[in-house]
Amino acid sequence: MSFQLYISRLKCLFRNKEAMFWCYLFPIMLASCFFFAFNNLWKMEYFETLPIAYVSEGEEDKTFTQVLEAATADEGVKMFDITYSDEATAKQMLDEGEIDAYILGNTKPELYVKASGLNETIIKSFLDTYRQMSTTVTAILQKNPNAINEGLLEDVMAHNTYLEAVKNDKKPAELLVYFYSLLAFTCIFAGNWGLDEVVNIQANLSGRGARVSVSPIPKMKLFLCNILAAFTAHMGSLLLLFFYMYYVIKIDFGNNLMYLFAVCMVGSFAGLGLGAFIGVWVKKKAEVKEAILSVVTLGGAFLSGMMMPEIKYMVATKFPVLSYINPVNLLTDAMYSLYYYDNYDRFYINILLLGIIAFSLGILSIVGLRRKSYASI
Amino acid sequence: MQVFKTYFKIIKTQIVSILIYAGLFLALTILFTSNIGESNDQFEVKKVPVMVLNEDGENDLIRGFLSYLEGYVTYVEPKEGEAAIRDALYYREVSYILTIPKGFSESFLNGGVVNLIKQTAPDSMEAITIDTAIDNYFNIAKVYQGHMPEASTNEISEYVKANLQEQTQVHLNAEQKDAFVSGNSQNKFYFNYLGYIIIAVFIASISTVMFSYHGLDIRRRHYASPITSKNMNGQLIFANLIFIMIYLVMFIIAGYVLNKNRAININTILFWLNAFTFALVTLSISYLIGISVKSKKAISALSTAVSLGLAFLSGMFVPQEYLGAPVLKVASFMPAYWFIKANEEIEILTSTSWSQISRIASFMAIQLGFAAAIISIALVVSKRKRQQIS
Repeated sequence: MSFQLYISRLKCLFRNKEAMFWCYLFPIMLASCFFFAFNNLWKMEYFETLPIAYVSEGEEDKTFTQVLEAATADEGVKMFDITYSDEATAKQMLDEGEIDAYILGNTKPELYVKASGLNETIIKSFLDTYRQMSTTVTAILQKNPNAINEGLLEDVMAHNTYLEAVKNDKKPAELLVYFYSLLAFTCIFAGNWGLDEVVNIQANLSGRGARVSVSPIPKMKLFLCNILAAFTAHMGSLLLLFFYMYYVIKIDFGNNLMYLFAVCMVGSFAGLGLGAFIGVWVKKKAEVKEAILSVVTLGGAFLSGMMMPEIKYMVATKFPVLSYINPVNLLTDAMYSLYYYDNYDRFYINILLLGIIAFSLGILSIVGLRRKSYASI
Repeated sequence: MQVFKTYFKIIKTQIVSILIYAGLFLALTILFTSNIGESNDQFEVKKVPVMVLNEDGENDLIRGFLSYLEGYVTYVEPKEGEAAIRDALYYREVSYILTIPKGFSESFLNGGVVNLIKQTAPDSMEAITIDTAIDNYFNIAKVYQGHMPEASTNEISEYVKANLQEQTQVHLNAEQKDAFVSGNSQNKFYFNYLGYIIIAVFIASISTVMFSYHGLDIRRRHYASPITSKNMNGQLIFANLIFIMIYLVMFIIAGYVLNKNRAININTILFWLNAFTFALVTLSISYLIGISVKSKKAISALSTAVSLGLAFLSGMFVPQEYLGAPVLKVASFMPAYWFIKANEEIEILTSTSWSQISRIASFMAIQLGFAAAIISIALVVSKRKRQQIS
């Protein structure tokens, strides 16, 4: 019998097109948007050749211009697109935005820019490196004139790296933060389903609630079956999202996939609990309940830094308590901690707190739902 | 003018979502643009907070290196314990942690393989500058060491430092045209984002009204009324145009006031014209959605999905130059792509010559083409619905 109830509720949920859209389709759509929009953002191969002008004072320094012409970015993209001109033209081009900067002079080139930005910084550091190298060569040749035959120039041009990242298994993954937020938000979205379950079972909230109240099924049994159905359906949406992220757009979650999934399970449960709690304890119209739920979840998301990352750190340092009772923050924090920390201490603390919150919300909802009967409604 | 009046009565029911979008948009604009517009007098290399964990002890090489690195970073006091170090990174006290492992100096001087270890926040874009600065130092030190074998570590440090102090002199070319440039760039930013707001708000509001007018019973009632269908449609079109004009003018004024380098010139007027063109396209999309959906809830879903989808793919949130070529190919089949492209051209427009303006005009024409195509589809849908009645 319970199984029958569970199945019919599941059918009910899957036929609710609106809920299906928001939980199944919308996260996948957002994930695709993030993927398409941000994927190239951190890749150097999309480096664009910088337009600059070179103004020689008197004799042109051939070595320098050769170096400028030969410079390439990582993937063989030319670094500079050089126009040779006189100063007045260069100035005009700079004003009109045709070039990012112009270089004036020979042995000690000077840089003329319009603003300080990323491109200007790149040009400056390139020039710095050139100047430093040529000074190095001059200085060494003074002391050791034979160095040129000992491969000095090759050594100067050789570029070794003396740095390595702390962990080889965790590459910097700027994009991950967005996907973590998306997962967290999908979890908390279960709140709408929890609310719906309460509305559907309370006689004073909906016609269907009134109908099931007169049926011989014990209310708690029905409620638990329904919540379980909602949990199943919602986990289905998370599974689909995971599947999509992992196999279709191939997001690298490292070794943390199972942990992430565990967070999502607890998160989905917490979301349902939150929705049910608001449904039971806010004694207002269904629309008001929905509005309050949206405010709570969006507010929670805001405080956990989904809209502005700084907010998260401000809350954590100024009002630490708030960050420990905000379920959205606990969710995202648990996910970020997988990335930042080697051990799982922080992760377990978050999960534990989230579990406690979910459990208390569930218990409080059940307490509110119990023993309500109406002689006539 | 009953139809006209009713139109605005229905729009009123959507006022909350219209105001929320508008308010959020203006708040974000104010927040973001408070940083633009202030022109600095000096060219500055941004300094990054860095924590250095020196496990190798003090020596000339490291001392020289750290004093060099100071030109690029600000040092943050090292913390005790693994957890505290991670926390510093986690809470963004630092965005780069550099560990000098034990034996690094010795390994470096003797050609060993011990490397420095770095740890960065995943979303720190500045890390790459520091990487370069660090590698530069050690690369040059290596050259000195190789070709001046008799020099001591101390001497090498001195040489490298002196070499690396060689900096390119930078002149900031600040002229009065600066205001023109930053005014335009702020306008571009503003109108690109406005595109998203226009889609979200117009679909939510206009589609709702159109939906209300296209219910089967309502239409039957209309056909029985003395107002001709032509009259009614005329009033609806008029009301739609008035609505988008009011909304646009509000934002055009807000954008003008919020721009510190405000000026009315050909660029500004083209920005306005382009926004109006795009509003017409969005109006046609909203109309199509309004007459084809079956429930009001579907409208809010479509409003969110279409606005976010178009905004992400056509470069409203992330500039088009950062989007991959395949994404742009797909996006070029969407009107929003041409809206953004026109805005980008308007930003760098410097003259009123037709050769420059004609490109922008062609982008607007493409948008109008989209509008015409969408309206034709809407007319077909509308015709089908009319046949349904009898």
